[in-house]
Amino acid sequence: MPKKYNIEVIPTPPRHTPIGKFEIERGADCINCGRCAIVCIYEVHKRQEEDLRSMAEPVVYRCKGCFSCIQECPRATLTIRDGTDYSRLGDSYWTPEIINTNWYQAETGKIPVSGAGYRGPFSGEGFDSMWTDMSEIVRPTRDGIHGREYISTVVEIGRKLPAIKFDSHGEIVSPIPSTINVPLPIIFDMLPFGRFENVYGAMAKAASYLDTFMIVDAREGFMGEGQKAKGKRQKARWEESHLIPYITQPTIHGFDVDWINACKMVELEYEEDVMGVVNEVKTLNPGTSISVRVPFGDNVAGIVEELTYAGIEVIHLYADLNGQTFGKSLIKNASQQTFRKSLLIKDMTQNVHRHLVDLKIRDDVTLIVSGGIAMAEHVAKAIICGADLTAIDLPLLFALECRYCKNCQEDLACPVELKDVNSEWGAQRMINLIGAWRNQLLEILGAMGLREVRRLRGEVGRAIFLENIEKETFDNVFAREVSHDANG
Amino acid sequence: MAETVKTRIEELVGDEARVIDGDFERELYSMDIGEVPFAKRLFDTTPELVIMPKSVDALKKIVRFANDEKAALFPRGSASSGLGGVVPTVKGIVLDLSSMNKIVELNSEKETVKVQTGVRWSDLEDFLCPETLSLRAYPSSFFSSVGGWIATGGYGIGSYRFGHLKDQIESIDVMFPSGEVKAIESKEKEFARFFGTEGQFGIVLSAVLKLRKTPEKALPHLIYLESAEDAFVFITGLINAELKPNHIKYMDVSHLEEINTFLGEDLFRLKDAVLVEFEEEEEATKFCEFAEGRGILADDYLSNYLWHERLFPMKKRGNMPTPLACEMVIPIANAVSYLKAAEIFLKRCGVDVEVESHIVGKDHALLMLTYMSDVREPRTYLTHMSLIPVLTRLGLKFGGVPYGIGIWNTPFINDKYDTKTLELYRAYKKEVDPHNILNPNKFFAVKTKMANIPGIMFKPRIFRPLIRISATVIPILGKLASPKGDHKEESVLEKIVYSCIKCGSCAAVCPAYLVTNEESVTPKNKLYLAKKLLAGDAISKIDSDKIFLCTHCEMCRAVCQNDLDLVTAWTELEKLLESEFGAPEEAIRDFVSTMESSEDYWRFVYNAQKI
Repeated sequence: MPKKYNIEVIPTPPRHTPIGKFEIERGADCINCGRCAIVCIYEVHKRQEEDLRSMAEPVVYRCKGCFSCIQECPRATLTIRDGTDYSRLGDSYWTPEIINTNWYQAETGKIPVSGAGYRGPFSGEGFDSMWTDMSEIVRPTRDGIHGREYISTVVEIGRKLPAIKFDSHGEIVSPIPSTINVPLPIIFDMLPFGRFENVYGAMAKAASYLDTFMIVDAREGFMGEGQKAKGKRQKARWEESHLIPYITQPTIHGFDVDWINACKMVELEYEEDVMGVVNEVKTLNPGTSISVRVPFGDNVAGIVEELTYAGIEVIHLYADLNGQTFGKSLIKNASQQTFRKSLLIKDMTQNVHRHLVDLKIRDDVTLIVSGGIAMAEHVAKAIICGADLTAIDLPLLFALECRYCKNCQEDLACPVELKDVNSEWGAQRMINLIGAWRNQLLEILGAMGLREVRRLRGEVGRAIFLENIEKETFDNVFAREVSHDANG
Repeated sequence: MAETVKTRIEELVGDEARVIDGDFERELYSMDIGEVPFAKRLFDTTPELVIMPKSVDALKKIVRFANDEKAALFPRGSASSGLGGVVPTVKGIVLDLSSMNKIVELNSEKETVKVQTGVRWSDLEDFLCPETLSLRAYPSSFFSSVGGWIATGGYGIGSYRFGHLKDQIESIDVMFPSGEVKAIESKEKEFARFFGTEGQFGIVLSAVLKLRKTPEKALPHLIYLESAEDAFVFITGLINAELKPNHIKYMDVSHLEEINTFLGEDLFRLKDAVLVEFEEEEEATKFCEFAEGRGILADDYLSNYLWHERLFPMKKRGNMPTPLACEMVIPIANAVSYLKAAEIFLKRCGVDVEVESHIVGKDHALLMLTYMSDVREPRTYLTHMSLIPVLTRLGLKFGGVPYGIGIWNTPFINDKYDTKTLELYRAYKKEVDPHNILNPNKFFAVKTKMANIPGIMFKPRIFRPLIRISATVIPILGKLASPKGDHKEESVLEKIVYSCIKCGSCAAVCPAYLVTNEESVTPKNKLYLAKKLLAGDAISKIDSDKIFLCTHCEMCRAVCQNDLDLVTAWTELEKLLESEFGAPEEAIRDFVSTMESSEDYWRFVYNAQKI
């Protein structure tokens, strides 16, 4: 048995009191009976450490609203209400729920719970309109997701051969393209804000621990932990690091040769004649994997097709922060009217994946998808839509307590002082977050009866799509109309 | 000797009883609610051992052992009487029966319940509540035990309608000093002997109480009347009118004045008043017609307030902390004359008295004369104390009998019982308790330390002339010795230690007491320790540690008859003890975890909201 990949989570309390979903007030006629502390499984209620006879103030941010304490309190002296600032967290995409559960996972490393029942949407836009199939739910529960049955989350970055040719002596004649193994289908993308050295330090430590990668903007000259002090880029250390330098406008500005020599993989901004640079890099360091960063936008499938035929092994498709594609696409609605609308990565990823499958070149390229990956389930859903792996950004900041208040974008003070984050602490919070995400991925895979995440790619049969259900349910109703039109 | 007795008893009963021999704890069992400073000089009030039997079997073994050894036994309920009925007189064993508190059997059809006598009336009512059954009459000290009320008075709330306690009990199980257990039915002639005889003949183990359907309503009405005379005329009229009140209670003007002071608002009129409670709408309407023109009906909310307060009768009055009371059962016809005579006498002594009376039958009233004194000023206090026998003696002239005997009313035993009854009782005592191990040296006759020389005073023939002397002397002394009232009381604790009247209501609702079963954790006894501490007496760490076994739940505060600010006091007391002994962290941890894993505790917590 190969050694199991395991993420060790260590509870890491927040530095600032997080904004809770609920507020709980302990009334004056509390008799310190301790019932609340017994029934609360989230450690909201506890006895005072210095005097066990009295109850401590409730740690309200941990409350999941399960109402146990409210129902069980013999004196009916506990009051629960919505947290005052909670609804103001984030925005319509990065909902308070998302931010809050990511905080929870970063603190505890545990799979989030929703308290009094799951009130999931089961409908809506983007990933919300997809439900993963859990019909084999018996499997992981047999002895848990970390049980005897090993579920692999390893993905390969690079080209995969459809077949291998041997010569008459049994020697392999096909050139085997080099691939990079990542133990989980999540890498760290560049941050939209909060690009402080200690934040990067935390990311680098976490990426290194997790054995995954982080993409850094080559212009920012980020170097691995401790290298800046030495003032010199040391090759040996660079190879150890888990960096993917991102080079913008390589055709105009060129690139730093050191980066190419040092890294296993580089990412180039997509330009029409990017292939020239790619060839240059390949000559410089044939071992380097090259990813081209292509925006989800008009004709993205065409660009991917073109790049794949040109021999690019990795394509990083990115949407905006909210998972919306750039530019507007032509859409036909049910009544055959066309209009322009920006799509979501769920649909665009499917389009690209389908296109490559139709061309029978899907395995020639690895697709990294990013933009709006906010929860563990988004990773699985993006993969079902056809991604090989995902890159995440904002959740990493949430791990560092970011409230997505956007103060920093207006030059206001950061309420959680991101700048002063201790990178050890930050790294552990990120590790906890990813640990929790991976466990959820394992649960999903286990429940589907899959034993490796690579099998999940494009497995649309393992998901239910709202639009398909709507079609199946309502098409009969509308079909008559359509056929009538046809006859007419 | 205590050591060996302890070992032998422990061998005998094993886990079935708890044997307590700590100095401070034994001291706690040396008193009841009466403050009698000279009690220790007359008697060995501190028992050698305290035993809490948990089963009849264990109790039997202990009783047999005591009988063989001729060791005195002092059974004890919640000690909320004040005449010394549970106070040890010689070195011996106190039997704390509070653990024998099982509700044995409820018969919903016959509407009876069999209970062990250690059960508290309040707990019993809580138990009956979901069955829509209720107690008939119950004592105004609602937190006291069933056994306690059997052994002492037997009159309380509802006695007008349901009569004396013995009329509400079908049968009792009694354990005699020989260890023999006997079931006695109410029709047997032996039955009545166990009521009001303060544990002289046997230990009442269990009783079958008659119940009734929970009344749908409580309709109290308060009527203001011009004088005590008017009030008793009104009451007599009410009785003759054959209305069916559940309870009738008279209160004098100073009682209502005290309540006003206590509430800080002039809610009640400053008049004498009668509180009548009905359970049937029809009867209440008839009553209102009856009362029309005879008195002034008070607002409903005032009547309801007083009705609710019936279970919290002992409010603090004035500046002085120690209440003294004289309780007598007196013919209604003579009540006013007696009250007038008593008032004249007390006025001469410079004492303000307050009167309450429960009408306990068609022609008898239980009169309670209460006045305040200060135990911190021994001379005044002793003078005030000696008023009680004078008042009792006065009551006898008006056909009254003392409500209880205990130690301090022994001189009146001949007045409570006629010669024939007393002779019968003496003979019965000899028959069932030949070695005189149950509550010796009280009730029938007092025998004190020092060859009983002080005890001679308690002999009725000597006592009467003494009273006559005091009746003349006290008015002079009383005026001279009026309390100075210049005690400096800085902290809440200092303010309230002397105000506790040890009624024990707090013990009934104390979760710490429930969990630990230790007398020393009850609020009243914590205040006793505080009193010692403040007086500069030595306290051991063991006793200090017990003080910390408290959840600061404030339940004691909620039921405190004197409305003492107990929880603040606990914080102060703990601070004092912490500076001297430190907080017992391990004991606290054990306490909290025992508490949280105790089923009884959770049952208690969920029931407690009803209080």
